[in-house]
Amino acid sequence: MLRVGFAGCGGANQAHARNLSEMEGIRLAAFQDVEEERAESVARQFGGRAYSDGSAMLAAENLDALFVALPPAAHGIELEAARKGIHLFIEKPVALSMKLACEIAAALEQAGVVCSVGYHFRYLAASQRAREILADRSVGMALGYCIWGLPGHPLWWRQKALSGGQAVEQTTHIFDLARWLVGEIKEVYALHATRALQTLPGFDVWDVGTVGLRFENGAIGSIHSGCLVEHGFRVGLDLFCKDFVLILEANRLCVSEPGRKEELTFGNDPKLDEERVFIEAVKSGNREGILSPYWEGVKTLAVTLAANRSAEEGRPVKIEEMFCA
Amino acid sequence: MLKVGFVGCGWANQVHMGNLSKMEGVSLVAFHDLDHKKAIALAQQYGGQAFSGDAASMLATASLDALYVAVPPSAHGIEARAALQGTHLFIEKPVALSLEAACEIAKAADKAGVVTSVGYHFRYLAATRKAREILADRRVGMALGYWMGGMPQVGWWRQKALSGGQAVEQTTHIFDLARWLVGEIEEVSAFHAARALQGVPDFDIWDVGSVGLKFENGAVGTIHSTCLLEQGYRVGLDVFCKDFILSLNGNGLSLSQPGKKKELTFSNDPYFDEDRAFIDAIKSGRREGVLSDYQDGVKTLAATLAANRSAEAGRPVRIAEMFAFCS
Repeated sequence: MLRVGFAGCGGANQAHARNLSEMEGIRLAAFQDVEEERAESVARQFGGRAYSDGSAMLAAENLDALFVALPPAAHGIELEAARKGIHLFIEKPVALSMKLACEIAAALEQAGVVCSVGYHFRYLAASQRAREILADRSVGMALGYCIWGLPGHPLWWRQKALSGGQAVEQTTHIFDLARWLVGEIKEVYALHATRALQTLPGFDVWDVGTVGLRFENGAIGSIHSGCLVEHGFRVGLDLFCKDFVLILEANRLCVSEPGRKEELTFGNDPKLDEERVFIEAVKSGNREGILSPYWEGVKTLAVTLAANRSAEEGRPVKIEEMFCA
Repeated sequence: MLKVGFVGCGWANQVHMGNLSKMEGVSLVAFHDLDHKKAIALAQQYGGQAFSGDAASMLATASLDALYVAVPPSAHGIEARAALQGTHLFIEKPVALSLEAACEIAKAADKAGVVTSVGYHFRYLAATRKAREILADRRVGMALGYWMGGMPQVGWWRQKALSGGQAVEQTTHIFDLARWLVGEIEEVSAFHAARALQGVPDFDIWDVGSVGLKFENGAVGTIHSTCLLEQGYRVGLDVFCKDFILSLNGNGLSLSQPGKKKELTFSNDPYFDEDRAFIDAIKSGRREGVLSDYQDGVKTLAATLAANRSAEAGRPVRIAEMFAFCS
């Protein structure tokens, strides 16, 4: 019986808990949230114990694995969990500062525990097919989009000190996909603005953003964010090669060339797959299925934090700069 | 009878010739092209005279009321002389390949007081007019523009010294639309690369480009260019406001709001309309119908040249910086 705990009882971890509750050999043992009532409500649902303090939970419970899904600024429990030899599934983004992310990376390395980061877009069958298709093509330009409305998150999402803004908290999925499908990003230049939502209480992030990218392999692109269109626009990634266009949107892939257009739809549940692969790795020690280990999460974080820095300072920022002390 | 001459007898000016030949009181009298055979063929077609030698000698001999200039970007220059002679000018985009050249022409045109019109025909699309009306009382958050397609097959297009590259020569239409619909651009930051076509003979431009825009009014955006896609892809502009998305594609306009989506299609010929507006302005002296005059065209040129500079220097470039040499 694998004993699993949950740090954070918001939507993300509730979804993980639901899926895990249907898997064999897993006991959903403990639920922690700064809002005690929420922890209690979710614990009741799944038959575990409720905690308001993470350390208290780790001390009292003998956990094999911990799912961490917290506002970006609230990461940190990972250090203690790793020291205790607890395997970790960590929701994106992995932290709000490179300093903490690197500290956690070191702790994980030292502890040798299994770690997976929730970049579930990598687990979409469409993404994996895209990766195969692109294996022998040279990408010219990548255009990414995460443009829709204000998520129904609590207030922290709209506060920079807690969420890091949309690029860090949400568009991170598309930045991660771009890294995974095209290659490492070398430099970003970002333009952020608040054009419509500034009157919302507590809102101090931006509601539109466009980040120009240069990849290490010479490709270029940009990734656009927006949270001002309530009715949504799109979340996706478009890749352009010579006479070849690949459009990736959720679990659908469209490929077009002169005289040929193909649309492929897939049906796997990427969140279920990432959870299964993590649990399998914890049980068997076989980590191959994990598509987004911790350091991948750190690299994607670096790009989005570089975008923030670029927008604030009005200059291009090289990703390597983010890794200096 | 308005006497019209043509410098450049390629595709662009042929379109204008066709339009003008349908108008009353307009006579197509003088034709010039570096390939003299082209000038002869068109002169024959329209009942005018083909001029060999240089364009300046055509200006000296033919007594023109108006001159249409459609030449590779690096070949602009005749305009200044024409303006000084009091010849009204229709100039195809981009207006020049350098701001120094453009500012010189602007000064001459200004001094002479001639009518000028630049061929930013996208402004004349009925869909664009409608978009402008709609956006007049909305606050734009972000604009994303696209010119994604294949590479024109004329040799000069792929040579930086002659064309200025895709942003200057072609995507200029979208930069111009962004200025027209959203507002003046304050600063650009560009990434350019040659990812697949560098092996093509004489190719020294780039085949992908992404230009970040900061507008003076606070909006942001990016304009994307590529000439990698032989099959064509997209030319257009998407504008994002609060709970409102406007998408301009050719003469079609898509509007979407929560719970509501509208598609509007229009069918006017923007080339004909811009030629009509130019001729009417000359005849009546009233210039309001001309939606893009030379000064305006210079500002769009500045944005695209700034993009080139930004890509080459690896830093953002303020548009104001580009005007350092213009007095």
